[in-house]
Amino acid sequence: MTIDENIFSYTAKEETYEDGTPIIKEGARGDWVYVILEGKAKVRKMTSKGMVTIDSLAEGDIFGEMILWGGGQGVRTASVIAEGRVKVGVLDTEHLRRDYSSASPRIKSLFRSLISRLRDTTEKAVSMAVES
Amino acid sequence: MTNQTTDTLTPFRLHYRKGDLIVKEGDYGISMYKILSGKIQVLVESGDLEIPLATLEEGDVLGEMIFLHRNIERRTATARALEDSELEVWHPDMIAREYEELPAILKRIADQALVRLKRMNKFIPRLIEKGRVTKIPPKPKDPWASQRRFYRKKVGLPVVMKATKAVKGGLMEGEVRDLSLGGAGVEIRPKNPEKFPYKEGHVCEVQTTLPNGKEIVFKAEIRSVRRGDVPGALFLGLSIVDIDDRSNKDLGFFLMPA
Repeated sequence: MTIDENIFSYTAKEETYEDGTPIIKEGARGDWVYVILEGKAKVRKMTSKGMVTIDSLAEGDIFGEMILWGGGQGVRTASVIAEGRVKVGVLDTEHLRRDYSSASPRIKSLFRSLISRLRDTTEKAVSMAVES
Repeated sequence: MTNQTTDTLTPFRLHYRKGDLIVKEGDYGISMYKILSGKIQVLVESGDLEIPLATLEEGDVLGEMIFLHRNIERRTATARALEDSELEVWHPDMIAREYEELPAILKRIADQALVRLKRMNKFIPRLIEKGRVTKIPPKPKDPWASQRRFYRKKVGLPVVMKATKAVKGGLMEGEVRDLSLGGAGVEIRPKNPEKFPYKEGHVCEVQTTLPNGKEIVFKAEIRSVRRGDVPGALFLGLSIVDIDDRSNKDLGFFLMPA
């Protein structure tokens, strides 16, 4: 996936993380949404049997966006950890929230439904995967 | 029912009774359905098995894959009413223009969510079909020195260590004082602390027994060697470089905060 100019207009600042450093931490309160500008990262969750990797992120991937939809008491649902050195864009979350809130009720229903389905299905897949 | 402009398309409602099929996987379709009341089961079929993926309730939207994904024309799952339900039908024209007008970044977020959801949806039936679990092994990589998020416990466990490359010194015995997912702090009482053969960078095989009786083994790199608290003792800082899945699981379980 490539980055288009539209994303840059939302980027408030850029940050660099070294290999192994968490960019967002599961369970912590989160305020920011990010995009990977360069490099890779892993999405990991803690389970009853240790940490599991549930996804890989590359250039252009947005993460941390779950907080836009609240739920889960406003805490991060997974950790995102830099794989090698990673450069991320920190997005203007207020701008995103404003854009989202000016969408029509139907669009909002669609998003809410999609995100909550993703959250539930991920939980289900992860808990099934660790049962052994 | 439909008027000139899409703005005045009137959505109509469908009533389903418990057990009714709403859409079937593979059907051609274009509409989305908003759940006004009731409960809908989303599932996929695999041979004789019905594999539930999600339960939708009031406010949820069904059928979004066809709308959001340009290349999909057929239903990716079957939906059935778990109880009497009322659905509002959304013709794509009703929201296509609103959706197109969204800032690209929000559309990108929706596309991403869709790709992730599809991936999870594919993963679940595979787990069930195999009848056993595809293990996603945890692999802790962070250095022992890192305090962040690693579970850490003070312990007093017997330990045996030996170097993986021939180092004259043979086996070492001692006590693990500090244990985490990334490493350990070990106290050793060698015969001759002044001429201790193991140095920073050496990799050792470590064997210790957890309080619950489970024995764990791992390979660790010596990161630091310093004098211990007691005369004649040395304290080694170890960083785990390799650990088998079972030991890692047992370690993880042990270190979980009570």
